[in-house]
Amino acid sequence: MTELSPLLRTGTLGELSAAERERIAAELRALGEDGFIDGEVDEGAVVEVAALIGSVHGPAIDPPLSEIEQRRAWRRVATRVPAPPASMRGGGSPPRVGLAAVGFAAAVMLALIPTLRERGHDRPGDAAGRAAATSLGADARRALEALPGESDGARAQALADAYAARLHGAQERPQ
Amino acid sequence: MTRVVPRLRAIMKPFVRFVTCTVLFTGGLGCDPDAAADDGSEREAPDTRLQTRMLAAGAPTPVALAYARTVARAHREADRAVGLEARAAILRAALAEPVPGDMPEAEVLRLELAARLGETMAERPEGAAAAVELLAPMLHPARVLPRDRATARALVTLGDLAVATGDDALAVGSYMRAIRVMSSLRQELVR
Repeated sequence: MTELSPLLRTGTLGELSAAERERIAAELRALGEDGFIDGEVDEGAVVEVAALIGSVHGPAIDPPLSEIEQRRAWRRVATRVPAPPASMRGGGSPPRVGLAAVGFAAAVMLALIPTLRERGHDRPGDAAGRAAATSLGADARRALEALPGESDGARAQALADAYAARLHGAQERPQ
Repeated sequence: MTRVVPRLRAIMKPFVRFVTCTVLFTGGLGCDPDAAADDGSEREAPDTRLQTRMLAAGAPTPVALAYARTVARAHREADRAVGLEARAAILRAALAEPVPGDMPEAEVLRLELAARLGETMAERPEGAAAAVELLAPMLHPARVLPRDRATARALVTLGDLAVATGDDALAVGSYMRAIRVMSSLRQELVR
């Protein structure tokens, strides 16, 4: 765990040296903070933020912030956080409910993927193409039936007979 | 005149459908050109290439005669066979017979055997896919096929098998090629 500054350790500015105060003030100026008045740190704001950061890192604030001070601190933090885009505003749902909603939506999407894929393949164009193929096949079969000629055994037998006749004719001619 | 019109209509019908299918399967149906381009990845365009050659009569040799008689016998036995497996086995054995070198008609007989074997295989569940694998290489668009009724019959059978397997592009391509073969044969008959 990183070493906390005296400010975060104590939550007050009282124990800070002049050099530390000046360094913090310079950092705040660099960040564009408006909590400075004539080189003095807005002690209330720094203490609030320190208390919040401290609550993350663990050290207790002495004295602890009252409920009103905590609300002020959170409100101040909220004003410094950029507003989320409209599409991300959830209407104040608790985080767990939001996560559950996201999880449920993901599960629904996963369950729907095969159905959506099937629907994607079964587009009107595909159905029309299949109908056209079936119709074309029926026409092709009809045209084949109307085409003169033999098939299968009859064709092979006719060819064998023709071969036999030509072969025997060729054999008989020289005699 | 009253007789000519229905006849002309009957003759034109397959070719009208031919054109319709060409339009449908080459993306002509799509109103959105981007959507049509996207469809290209999912919907394969039918391959309608067709190269044919006139079937020349081979020299009547004893080997060619024996081959023709073997094929004719196989068909007769297949007619009498009880059960799909027995019929398929007879046709498969005939298809595996060595082909005489100087016998152009042998390819026609083999196409007939393959078409019948394919039809027999397709009578079993999942048999259509295997039948497509049997027939498709024999009728590949890059091959020069004999201009014969057997070629048209085999292409129609391949189209039917493709419909059964859900391969609409292969089905339409095969039917279109069959119709073109039949159209060529009809033109030759008219001459």
